[in-house]
Amino acid sequence: MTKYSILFVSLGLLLGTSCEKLVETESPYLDQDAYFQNEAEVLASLNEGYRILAFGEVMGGNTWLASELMADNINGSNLSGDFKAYHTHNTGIFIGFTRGIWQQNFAAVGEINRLLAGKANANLPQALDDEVTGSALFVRAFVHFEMVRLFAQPYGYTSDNSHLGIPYRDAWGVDPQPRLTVDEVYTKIIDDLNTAIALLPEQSTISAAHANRWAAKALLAQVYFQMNDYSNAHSLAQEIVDMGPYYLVDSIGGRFDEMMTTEDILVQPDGGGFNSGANWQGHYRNDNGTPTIRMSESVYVEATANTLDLRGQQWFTESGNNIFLNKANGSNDLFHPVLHLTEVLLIKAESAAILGLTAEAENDVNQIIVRAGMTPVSGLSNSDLISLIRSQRRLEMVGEGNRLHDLKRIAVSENQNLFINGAPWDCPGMVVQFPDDELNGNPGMPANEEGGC
Amino acid sequence: MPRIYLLGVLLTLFTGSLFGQGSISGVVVDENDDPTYGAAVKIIELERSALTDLDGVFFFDDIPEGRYLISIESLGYDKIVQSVNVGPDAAVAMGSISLMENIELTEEIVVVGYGVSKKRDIVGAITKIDGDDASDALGNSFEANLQGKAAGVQVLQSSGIAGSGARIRIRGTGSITSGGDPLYVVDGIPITQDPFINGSEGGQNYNPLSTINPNDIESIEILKDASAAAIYGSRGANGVVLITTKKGKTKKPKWNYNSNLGFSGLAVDITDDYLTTSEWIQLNQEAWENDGNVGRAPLPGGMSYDDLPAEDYDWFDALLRKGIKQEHNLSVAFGKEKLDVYASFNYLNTESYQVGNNFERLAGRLNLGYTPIKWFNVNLRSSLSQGLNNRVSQAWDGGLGTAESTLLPFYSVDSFQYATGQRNPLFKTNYLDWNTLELRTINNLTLAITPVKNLQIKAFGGLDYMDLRDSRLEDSLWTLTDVFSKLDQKNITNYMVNGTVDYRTDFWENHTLSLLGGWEYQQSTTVGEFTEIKNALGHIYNTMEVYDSPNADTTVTEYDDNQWRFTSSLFRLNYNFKDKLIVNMNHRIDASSKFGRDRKTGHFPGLGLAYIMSEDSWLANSDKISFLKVRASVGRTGNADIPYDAQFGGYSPGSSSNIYAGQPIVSYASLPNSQLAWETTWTTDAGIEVGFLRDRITAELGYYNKITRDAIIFVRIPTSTGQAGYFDNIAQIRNRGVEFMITSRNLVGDRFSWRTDLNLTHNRNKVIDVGTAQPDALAGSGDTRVIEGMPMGVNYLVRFSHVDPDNGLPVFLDADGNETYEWSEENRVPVGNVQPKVVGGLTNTFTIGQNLEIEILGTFTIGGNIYDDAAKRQLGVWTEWNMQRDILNRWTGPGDVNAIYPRLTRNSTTYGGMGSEWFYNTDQWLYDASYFRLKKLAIKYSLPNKLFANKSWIAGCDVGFTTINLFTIAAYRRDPEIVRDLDGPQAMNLSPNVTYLTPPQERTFNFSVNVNF
Repeated sequence: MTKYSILFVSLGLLLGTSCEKLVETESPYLDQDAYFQNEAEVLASLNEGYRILAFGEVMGGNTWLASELMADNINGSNLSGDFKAYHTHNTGIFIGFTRGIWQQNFAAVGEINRLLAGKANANLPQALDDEVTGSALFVRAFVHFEMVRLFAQPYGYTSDNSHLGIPYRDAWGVDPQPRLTVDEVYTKIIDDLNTAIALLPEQSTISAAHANRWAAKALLAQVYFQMNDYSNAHSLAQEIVDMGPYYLVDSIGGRFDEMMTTEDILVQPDGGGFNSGANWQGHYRNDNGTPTIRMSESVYVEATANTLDLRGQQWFTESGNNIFLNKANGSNDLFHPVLHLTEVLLIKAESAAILGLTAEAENDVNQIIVRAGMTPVSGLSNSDLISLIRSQRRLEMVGEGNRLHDLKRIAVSENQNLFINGAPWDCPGMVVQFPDDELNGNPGMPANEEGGC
Repeated sequence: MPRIYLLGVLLTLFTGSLFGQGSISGVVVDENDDPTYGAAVKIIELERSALTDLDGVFFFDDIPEGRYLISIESLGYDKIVQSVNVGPDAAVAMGSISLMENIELTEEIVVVGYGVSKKRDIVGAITKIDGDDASDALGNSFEANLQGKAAGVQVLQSSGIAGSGARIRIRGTGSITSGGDPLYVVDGIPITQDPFINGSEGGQNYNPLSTINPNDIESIEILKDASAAAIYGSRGANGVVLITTKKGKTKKPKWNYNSNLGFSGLAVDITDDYLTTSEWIQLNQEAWENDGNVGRAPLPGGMSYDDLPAEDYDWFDALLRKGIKQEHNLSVAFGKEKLDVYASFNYLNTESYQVGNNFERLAGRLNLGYTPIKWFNVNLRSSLSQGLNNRVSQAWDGGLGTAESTLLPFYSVDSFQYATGQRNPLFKTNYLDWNTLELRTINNLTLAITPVKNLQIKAFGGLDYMDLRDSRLEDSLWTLTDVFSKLDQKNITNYMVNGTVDYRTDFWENHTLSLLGGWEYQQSTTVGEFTEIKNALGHIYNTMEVYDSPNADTTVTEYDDNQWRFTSSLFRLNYNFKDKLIVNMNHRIDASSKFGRDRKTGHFPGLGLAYIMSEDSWLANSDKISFLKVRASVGRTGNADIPYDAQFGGYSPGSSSNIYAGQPIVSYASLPNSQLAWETTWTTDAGIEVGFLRDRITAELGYYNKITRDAIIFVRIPTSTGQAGYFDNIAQIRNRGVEFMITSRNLVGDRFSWRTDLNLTHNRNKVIDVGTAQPDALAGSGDTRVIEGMPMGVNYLVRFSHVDPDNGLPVFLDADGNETYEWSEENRVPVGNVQPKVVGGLTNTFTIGQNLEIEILGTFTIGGNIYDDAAKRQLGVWTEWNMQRDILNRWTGPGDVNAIYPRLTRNSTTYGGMGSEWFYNTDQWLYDASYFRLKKLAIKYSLPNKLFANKSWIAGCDVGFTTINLFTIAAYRRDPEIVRDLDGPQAMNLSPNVTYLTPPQERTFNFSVNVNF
């Protein structure tokens, strides 16, 4: 053993402290608590919430398509894969289509929940702070309303709505949340919307593509309408129709334009990196190839029953055995309407008819009927009038994700034996199964019943 | 002894009288007068050689009169040269010739991390593979050729598509979400090796090892246990593959030219496995009628029956071809006193069996060693290579995969598009010009000084630079709009510097101590961008200048810079007592930018002991046991194969050009984890190495137990948070196994010798802990999962029971084993195992006469399962896919008790719970994975030297014929050697043996000429 060995051991010990400085790395990201320092950062987060809401998986097309696939507007005979599983009411936990819908809808909620948790640091002026809060709560309510309708049996399925709904994400956090009852979910949706209505201005100071008070009211009207609470639905719809700054467009296709239209209550603008509504157009459009989605015989018959009906003439193409929806044809740069006066008017009309306000209902639905090229109706029995309004609702908003929820709403209140696309309205498969990635992160959460219909 | 003499004399007399020429015979013995088996005896003037037999006897006949020099060499002994005079018809008996043992010569040198060691002094589990073995399968990159050569090493070539890589697992898989590949170190530098650098575009992962010229490799050492791999610290847990390139050794320049010409086809024929038009039409009708329909069943896309062709189109014929392969390699090497040089040039062009697909490599290398003065040495190793891969879509993305699935035999090979909207893959090949070009240079420079005896100080700098360009030119005839050119470009600069001090001292008597200390820094930076040009004139990199000014038709997206860094200290102590007891201690300290800020630094110690019992007096004189070593080691290694930014998360302000309604947005990247760090593996290893009959038979038996703690998984959180989860060190995995290797020279003789090498590995993998992760939280491709108590990648499937003979419906088993008509996710159970029980390789090498050598390598797998993930479509619900021919065994009517598959139906819901045709995952698609494959049959003939007697410039020449994958015996009908090319490491770890239209391996036939001059 020589001095070298000693030297060596000491050298080894010296080297034992390797230089951490050389491997220090700045994170390219900001922690949540370091973000939200100013107004711009808060608004960027809010904008991101709305941008996600316009993604293809969300309002950009798939969330609507999910419900359409399960209802009776679509001819599913050539569908395969995920779409087939939806159409046959057999969604399982491994449906990629569901994963996208679930996660992206909730990504919007996650974004605005972080915003709500962190925005205090930015010390916004009170008015802006109120609007940001209201605008965020609108997003939260919007998503939960879409999700509870897809992933749970409808409101009214049990008399006290104690059947399981979905988790309600009302605060930022990564912990699993239990499924609340449908009653609890609707209560939270209504609470969020009422707060939003209180906080939002009549006209958004942020942009026309952010929710204002009317948008929150229109959404709340939809919620009450879905709950078969026609009185609340009616009064909200009436307020919007009478006092809101919205006008019906002249033509049936006028709602789909390369700009905001007079009846858009909430619209997703095109540009800035994405085509809003591109997925929706992609599913249906037949002007640049053969689309995956073909329309059902029943909706086509309904649309063409009156030869004057412009929707029958303009929105459908019959080609061989196939019926395509033309509604989504046209420019790639269409603004994508999410809440609009046509729907509010139809909510008002149907609610009024159910509440016995026949004249009002007739007047409302005639605006739609006339715009569709037909002659106005009068003197119909109440039940015929309701049927007519429902038919108008089906045709006017075909492809826009309403049909399944409308049928379930009607089944709850009027027809416990209703079949939707060949299956009982309340069978297990009529509810979308949760995706595996929610269940994996939330192991205690009961999945929906499987086994189709 | 007299008996042997007598035999020699008799032989001499006999042959001498027979041929009327002289002969030479003799007996070679060792210092104990025991016969030496296998010694090489040469008559230098006649260039004839022979090996001694079991009795030490050698014999040459047919010797013309003259004086000859006879040289005798045997491994471990000094070479002897003696002269003999042979008279006319004389039988010369040289008698007993004694060899003297030479320790220095015996010692095979093995490369270990940061140095070399004598093989007998290795205390860990290291397998050395000769460079020649790495270069013998034309077209594959070197790592694929390790298959069947080393115990503990599982090699699966991914497919027969040109340029594909192999999946290598050393002693099992110890990682779930992080990479499971070993660390590849070329001449001292851990190289860029990420197989997911380009994702899995076209159904193929890019293979960053493909540009390395296998002919340049001198040796490959595989470090398997912790005492060997701990010196690589946080990157050693998956094993380390050390690649050492050649250097010049002989004084006289040695030139070598090697040329190969070959062709390739499918290793396993699948072309007859699918339905013909008439069968398809018949079954389509049957499915239609089974569903209660009447009339003629609709054809895909509303095709008319009148459009059906009179004869089937042969899609396999259209998409397959005989691939032509060629390789030329020229090298020169010499080593003089001060300077040694190795230089080479390599050209390879290997076409696969799929039309339009080839890989072309150009590679040059210069290795220089210069020792101007005794105490100073400089060493340069430098390679420059280019790999050009002409890509095709395959598997799920097109090509052969479509011929097996979505192309029906009545779709015309001449049509662009079919009624279903599907396009012809041949047109895709023609109209999509797609190539991946890699430019690569791997270099290092070492300066070594030896200021005093036994002390060496080294400074090392290494650079691995990769320029990867994936370029597509999409013709307007394919896009139906404009011509698009797309270039995906990545540059990776990976450099390393280190300094080491090495000291060796002998003290007292019989004690030797070697010490190594060092410090190291490594950094790898990836930059890149994606360019897309509308109305392009050609590949972007060829026409770059045209697009100098950005315009509306050009979009450029820059990738985020990706950089990781390591700084390390390393220390090794090696103690040797009397060449009998060897102790090895390693310690490495790694800090890395990849590790979370709260866990920056890790310590990785390793300790190994070996005792060479054959040095003990009681064994030293044994006749039978010539070598006996026992060894044991324990140590801790890590795996740091995680993304450079896995620890980070949060808001990414200003990173996105996206806006909403004209206003800026911010995006939330992911959830951070400042605790994220390396995975830790504790390995214990024990082994016994033994040599019998003067090492005529050598064997090694090893046992290992590897426990990986802190294995990284993606911890799932509910996606209703808007996030999917985060990376964390959670899981625990055990790999425990036994390795066995044996080499036996069964027959040794002048005219015929036969050697057998066998290796076997049994590995048992078990997932010990995955925290709270549910089975579906850790999924691989094809329904493989990570489940506590099960081997990693266990198949998680509904069990199929039988076809109900009465109604033809499939009957499944629920989770409790009761029969049910309902398929349900809730009835999935762990069944099957994608990891085999035993893998191995068996090589038999025959040497016939002086010039002919035949090598036969068989590789085999025993146990385990293959999951055919496409079978649910090809043997399940009737759709517009073609079906595996086995579907003919479907239920045909009530009372059909022999049906293997259920009644045909076009409605997935006919089978209970089947939401769509994609749901049909059951254990019916699990197959036994056992197979035996004749991996390699190589015949080499060395032309007799007398042919070159007058050509002094030629030193030798051999010609050869090699065939790879000549035949396969397997339970599974397709190729049983499967790795799907996949998007990321988790699927690669969990889903070997899962096929989804995965292309088969190649069968190649190859002719070679090898000239030394």
